[in-house]
Amino acid sequence: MSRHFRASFSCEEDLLGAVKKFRASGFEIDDAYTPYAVHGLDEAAGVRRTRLGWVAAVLGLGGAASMMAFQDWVSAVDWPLNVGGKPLSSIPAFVPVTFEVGVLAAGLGSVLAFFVVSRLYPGKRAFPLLDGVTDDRFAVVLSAADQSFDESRAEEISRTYGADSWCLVDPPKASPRRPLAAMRWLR
Amino acid sequence: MIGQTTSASAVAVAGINLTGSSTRGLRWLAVLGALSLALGAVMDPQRGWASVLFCGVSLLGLGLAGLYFIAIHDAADAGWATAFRRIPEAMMGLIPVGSLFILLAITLGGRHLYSWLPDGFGGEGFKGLWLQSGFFYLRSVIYLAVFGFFGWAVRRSSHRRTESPSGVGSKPGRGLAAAFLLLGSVTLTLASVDWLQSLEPHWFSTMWGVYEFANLFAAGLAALLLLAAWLDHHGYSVVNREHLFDLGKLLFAMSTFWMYIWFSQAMLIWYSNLAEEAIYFTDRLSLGWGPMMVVSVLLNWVVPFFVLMSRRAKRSQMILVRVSMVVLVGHALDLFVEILPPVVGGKPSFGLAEVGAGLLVVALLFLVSLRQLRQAALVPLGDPYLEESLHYHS
Repeated sequence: MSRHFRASFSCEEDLLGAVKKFRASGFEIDDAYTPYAVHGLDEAAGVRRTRLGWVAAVLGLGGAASMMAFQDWVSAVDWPLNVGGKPLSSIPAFVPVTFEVGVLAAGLGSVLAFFVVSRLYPGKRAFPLLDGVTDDRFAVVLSAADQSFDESRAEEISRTYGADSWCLVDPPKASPRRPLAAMRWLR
Repeated sequence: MIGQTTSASAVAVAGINLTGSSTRGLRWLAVLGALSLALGAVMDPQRGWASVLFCGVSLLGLGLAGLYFIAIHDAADAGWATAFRRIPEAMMGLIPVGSLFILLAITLGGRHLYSWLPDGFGGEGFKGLWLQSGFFYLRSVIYLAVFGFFGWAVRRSSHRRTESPSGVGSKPGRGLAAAFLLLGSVTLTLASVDWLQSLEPHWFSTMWGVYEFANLFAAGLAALLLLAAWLDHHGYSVVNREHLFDLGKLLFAMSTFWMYIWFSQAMLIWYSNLAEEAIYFTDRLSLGWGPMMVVSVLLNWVVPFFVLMSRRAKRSQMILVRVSMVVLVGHALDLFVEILPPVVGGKPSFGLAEVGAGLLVVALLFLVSLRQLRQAALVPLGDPYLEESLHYHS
């Protein structure tokens, strides 16, 4: 994470109000951290809607289509087998597996796409932003990478909305552990 | 559209107050439908009675859909739908109306509809014992009594607990809802076998009960959306965008469930290829009902599935209303495909009786539900889940 400003609150209403105010004042909201889902926070923080639905749709339809084609190729082309006198290309018999594979591809694909997009992978180290943010603290992180970031204004808003701590974090140029090559490619 | 939740509580206190002019069109529609149905019945009694049975099954089904909706939510202690629970409750008022049509069809029209009814099915087997006129009428009355009782009891308990003078009522009772879900589902299965499957007494399908449930619940959700939109149009908004979103998801899911059951039944019959099972499809296909079946699949699944896939469509009242209309027409068509071929035979044709029956069902759906809505506060202010429902976020 590059230079950022973070403020933490002890209740969701304060966070929600502060997030709205930050956004209205032209700050760029990096992310908000809450121990549970807070209604309306997505809209308030201007979080872009996920595109996972598209991934699921494409993978689902693609998985279904390829499974239908595969079954037809197996049953009618590669190894024709008469089953109960039915035609070799018996589409109704292929539908259940087509459906299942469509669901499987959409489901597994969405989960994998989610992990890739959010850069989660086995063995990833956790970097807690703040103690208690998974328990009873609410935090908002503003991007301060831009040198024109107005720190005093951010502090003023934090104070107005009852933040119990705030700080501007300027992390040193650390060299994080290099992730696996495969993960770098997936990013 | 609410969103401004205060308007919900403003209209809640008094209940709806509709002037005659807003329902006059509906009353004319009902009269027109009834006349058309009667005229069709005079010209061809077979068609007429088939349409009366259609009205009965449709209206009872819509009423039961309301009852199922409430029972599922009460049994699961779900609060999201509380703001508009008066609408499915009002739909339960269709249960006695549908029952009347069914009684009319099976008593006066019975011999036109059920080929086995005059002398019984006969034979040594179980079917011979089951399909006898006296037993059939006794069962029919029991089914209608079960549906009628639960419709009455669930509605009464809901009104009692939410209109307590102290202000805050009690949570919904789970016992009654759970009892209906168990007993009602067995009853629904037997009733659909008796009233619809026995139109073709030699045919049988073990998926018939769940197929009829899929039919009635998908159609019921569409009717619920239309009623909510009608109320919204007349200034009584009880559903907000979040409620619409979830109703849209339910309609999407139930359309797919219907397709799943439809296909499962068709595929099992196709696979085993037994004469007494396949006759359902071979009869219809040889008489030329194949295109009707394809159209019903298009209307009942393809349209809702692809239109409602996007989030935006499920949150738009206008799109939901249009999809609901398509789904209602689709289920009406599907029911005609079930009833008409064995009773009327011949090539698919729709005449005065069928069109009249369709209009009558739509008109009665609105007239009866709106009448029921007038009898209680539109929003159950005393319901402890109301607050949760108004702030619902899906």
